[in-house]
Amino acid sequence: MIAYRPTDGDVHAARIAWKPRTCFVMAQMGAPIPATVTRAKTRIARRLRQAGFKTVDADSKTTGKDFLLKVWSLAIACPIGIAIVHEGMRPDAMANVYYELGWMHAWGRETVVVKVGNVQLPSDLVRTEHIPFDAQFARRFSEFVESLRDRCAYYLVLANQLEKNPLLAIDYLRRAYLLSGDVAQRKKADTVYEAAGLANRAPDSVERLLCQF
Amino acid sequence: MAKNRDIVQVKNPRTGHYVKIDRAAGTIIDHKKSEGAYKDVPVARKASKGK
Repeated sequence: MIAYRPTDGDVHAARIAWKPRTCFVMAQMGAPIPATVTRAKTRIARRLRQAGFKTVDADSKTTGKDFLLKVWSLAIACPIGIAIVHEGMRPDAMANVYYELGWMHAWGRETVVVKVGNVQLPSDLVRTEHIPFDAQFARRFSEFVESLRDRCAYYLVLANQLEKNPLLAIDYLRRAYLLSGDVAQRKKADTVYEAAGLANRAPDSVERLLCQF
Repeated sequence: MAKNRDIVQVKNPRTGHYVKIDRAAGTIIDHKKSEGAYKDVPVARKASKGK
């Protein structure tokens, strides 16, 4: 996949710092943040930690460079995205969350929206998986976390079946690797890459960058 | 009728629906809209390795 930077529309011709087994949490960053949102964040992080996933958000890293580019590269580098929207959320914060969620959809990431309180999703997102933060939250969120294993297995099957389409197979291997952290998938991508006769590509070529994970 | 060995199907766990793959062409050729598997199309097995 060719990555276009949101800051200038140019191709991002550099290796992305992939974050396997990491979840990007999208939520309002500045105060005031209701206590229920903080509780939701804590429970999400705890459940993901139990399953061996880390959580990061827009404040997790300071680069001293462009903030939008930092958030974008963090979001697309993670295999999982969880958007937390709450009742009474500032409209600008809500827009940011949905904008970042859109990046993650475009990159085929595993996403879910957690709704805290009575908040209505925009019509474009009505088919996006969402979980209310209520008495059933623990069960529903656990089901989502447990489904990630099946999704990883699905990507591996597709990678195997699509070897005649090497770049697509490598992309599926990368998605599987980001979910599993299993370096065997990275090695398999190298094998597919070599077998496709792509070894003479330039270091920053689209093909080579796809394989570098 | 003999089965085309290059056409297989896999269940997408996100949707619960099957997708049909042409292995020879290396493309996903169809997404099933209804429940259940495609008739007379083998289901691709899970990879033997990986999590």
